[in-house]
Amino acid sequence: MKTFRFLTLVAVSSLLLTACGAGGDTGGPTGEEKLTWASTGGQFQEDEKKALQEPFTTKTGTEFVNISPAEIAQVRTMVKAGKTIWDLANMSWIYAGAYCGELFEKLDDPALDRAKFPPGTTGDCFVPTYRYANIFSYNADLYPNEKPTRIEDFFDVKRFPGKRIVYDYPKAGLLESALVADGVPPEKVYPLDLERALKKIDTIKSSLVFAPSYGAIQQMLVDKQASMVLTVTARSIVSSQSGANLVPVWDFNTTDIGALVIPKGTPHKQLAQQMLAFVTEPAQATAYAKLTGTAPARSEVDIASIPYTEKQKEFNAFLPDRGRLIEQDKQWWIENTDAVTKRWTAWKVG
Amino acid sequence: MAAPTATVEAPPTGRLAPARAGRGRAAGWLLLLPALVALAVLFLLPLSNVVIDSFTEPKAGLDNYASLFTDGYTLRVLGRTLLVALVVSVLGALLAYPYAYAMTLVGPTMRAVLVTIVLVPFWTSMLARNFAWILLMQDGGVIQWLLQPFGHLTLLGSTLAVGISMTQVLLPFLVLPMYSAMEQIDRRLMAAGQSLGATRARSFRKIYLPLSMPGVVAGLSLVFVLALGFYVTPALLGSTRNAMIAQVINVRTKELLDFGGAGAMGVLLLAVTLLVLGLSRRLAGQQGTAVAAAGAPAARNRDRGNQPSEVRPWLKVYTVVVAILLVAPTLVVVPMSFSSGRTFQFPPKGWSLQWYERLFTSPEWTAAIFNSVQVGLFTAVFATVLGTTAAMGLARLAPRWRGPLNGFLLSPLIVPHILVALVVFAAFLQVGLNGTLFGIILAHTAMAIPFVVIAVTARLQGMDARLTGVAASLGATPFSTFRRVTLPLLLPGILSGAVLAFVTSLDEVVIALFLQAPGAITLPVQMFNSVTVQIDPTISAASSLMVVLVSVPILLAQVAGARRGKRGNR
Repeated sequence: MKTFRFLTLVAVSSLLLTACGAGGDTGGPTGEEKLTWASTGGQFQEDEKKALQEPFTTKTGTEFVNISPAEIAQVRTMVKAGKTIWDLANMSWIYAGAYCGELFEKLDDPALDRAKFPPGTTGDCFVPTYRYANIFSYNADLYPNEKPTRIEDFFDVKRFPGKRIVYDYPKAGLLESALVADGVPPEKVYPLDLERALKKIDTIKSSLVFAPSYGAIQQMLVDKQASMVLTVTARSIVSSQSGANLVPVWDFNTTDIGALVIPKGTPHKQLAQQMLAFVTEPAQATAYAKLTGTAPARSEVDIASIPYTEKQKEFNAFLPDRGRLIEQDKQWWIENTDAVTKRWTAWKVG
Repeated sequence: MAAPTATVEAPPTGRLAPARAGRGRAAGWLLLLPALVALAVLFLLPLSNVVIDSFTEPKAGLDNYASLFTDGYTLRVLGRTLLVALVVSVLGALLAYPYAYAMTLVGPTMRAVLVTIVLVPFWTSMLARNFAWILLMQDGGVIQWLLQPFGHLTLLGSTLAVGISMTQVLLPFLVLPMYSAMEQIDRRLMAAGQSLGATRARSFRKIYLPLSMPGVVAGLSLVFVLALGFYVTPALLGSTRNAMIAQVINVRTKELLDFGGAGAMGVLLLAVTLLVLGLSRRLAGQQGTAVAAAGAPAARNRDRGNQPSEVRPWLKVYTVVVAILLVAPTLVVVPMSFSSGRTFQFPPKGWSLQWYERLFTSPEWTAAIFNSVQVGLFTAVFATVLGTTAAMGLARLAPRWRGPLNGFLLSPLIVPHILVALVVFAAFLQVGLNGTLFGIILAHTAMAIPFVVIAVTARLQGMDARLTGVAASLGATPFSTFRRVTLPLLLPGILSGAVLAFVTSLDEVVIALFLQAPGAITLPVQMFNSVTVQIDPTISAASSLMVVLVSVPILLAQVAGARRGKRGNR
């Protein structure tokens, strides 16, 4: 009975607290415009705030409301409900491509001239805001003698035993790597022969670990639970910084872009596009690259001018002598991701 | 399940005159009304969109349902999910039963300790707990070392790892209803049985076991249903190769935007679960009538049954082992929070207070803790009121209504959270409730009602329904009968329902993620976002803090209560 009274007391006092809190909370609009920014959360979004949002606030007075994570399912729900509450979302360009005009706004601001970006990295609904790579690296502590040097070694569990960890998503670079390791020349990887790739991956299936999150990849690499990894630039750097002795293998890797997209029906489309153009400008792009270790999107920025740390340079695929690189084919992935994901899910479960 | 045993109560009600029974039923509907309305508005109405989508997206027809049976993996995944849920609930019951039994035997102070231990997994955040399991189960980890005699086992990524972790986290859901039922049993019945020549084992099997069945069935069905919907644990500890149904539904909605296909899977899951529960109801129901006769009179002798008695050595050992299992992940999380490393480490290689410093100096973390406690308490209050009245109403209904309504009240447990999150998000967008704590409280209340219904129903079954009649015949008004007779008798069930409701809200992440906005971020959301892109041991500090913040008051309140109770008896 005493416990009950205690709980009632706690409940009642918190009721009162909320009642007070609710009064103070409704600050109301300040007159300035606000942009709602949905992104990954964690350190990555902190970097976005610092390198991208704060300078824009200084310049225009626009405030930002940050949300995370950015789920496509929520965008679809908002658009369908006719209430779009996000203005910018750091989200896969695959969705922006596949649902362009349907769930995402077409980018028509002249400041977003597609010619400023590398060929094959833009669409009607997206421009790149940064570039990164899906990097194959190994844990040097676990291979004291012979080191992996080629993409073929990732698929050779006899010579190089150990778990391989890959983010649980078909576009993480594994399929392309499997084809190249199977003898397909990099320039002929697309259109991607999915069955051939899966057949190659089948040879190492029992050594593959599909990670549910980037955090899990980092944790497992630091704890030496996996000896090889295929993951994105920024995650490779962070894992390496937190104690995994990772060495990248610059033989064959895929590169890709990060994109900020604008959900359909936002009341702030013009301002969001302004922000998008601002993000890709050399000053902001350089500041962001310096924080995250990724590369600027616009071709005009000289990558040699960015003051990367040694660790960031080590995992940067856009510096000279990085072996064979291909940009993941935007059009192919936009058209085929749904089919690939279905096949991928069935293949994994099977 | 709860309801099978609700039939147990039929005899006492049956003794009433027909007119009174009719009035009782009207009152039953009235009591049920608030919960039914709440669930209809917060759950059923939004969810109807999912059902409609499953028949219309991408085109009208039964294609989504047909493909469930022809795509070659949905049925396999569903089968695996059902099997895992079954094994987890049965194994869990075997672990929980003796522990709950021991709780009824020990003295009040020891019982307070045991109750606190049972609740510890609840306060340890789901994310922190799962990372603790990763550390315990990885190659070279403690569990692999313990299992050495059985050969070199790779645990992570296996269904075994998922099963162990699920069993641990679901144990409290078994122990609490079992304890609640056992506490009502008069142990002198067993002595009577033995004096009549039955062996100890036989009198246990013939008397105690049947009497404790309402609690066992309530716990089993609760855990079975909860296990079906597990998402984070299989995702982190298992592998997509041995995926469970909630993972597949997640991929469908979050990656493929296939709301129709996901909806169809959700509907199939709901149908299969209700079918399984219905069958178990049948099976348990046949046993129920036998229990009823003995069940009713026992209730009055609570105080006798409560007296501490000897705990046999094997039971002591068993209880300690189960207690260790209950707190194992927490015992990893707490040291982890004092680590100087940048990822989770156990045992830590160096010590530091950096994560606590971060916790207390960053306003997001402190706000998130405050928000979560607030949302949890409100949810607990709302859900307890609605769930308790619903359970009392349910008990007064004719049996033919009881089953379907009980199924409806439990359905928020069964429908995967991702689907609920989507539809609630859509509905709240329209009315401007998204991004507010109040919206999260409402959604959590709908999710938490079933827990209260189950806990209170289990208690109601052990209660002698004639007592209220007696009170009325002595001139008590219905209200004072409720306050002086029903409420005190139901209190343990109501309290455990409230605790379960609080916990549901405290650890709920999927719906809160969708409804969040700056200012309405709960602790699990803050934790989730801080580990999606990289590891942040701050979550272990936040989780440890929660364990202490919640466990200590609960332990103290119980010990104080026990002390006072003792003095009163003397």
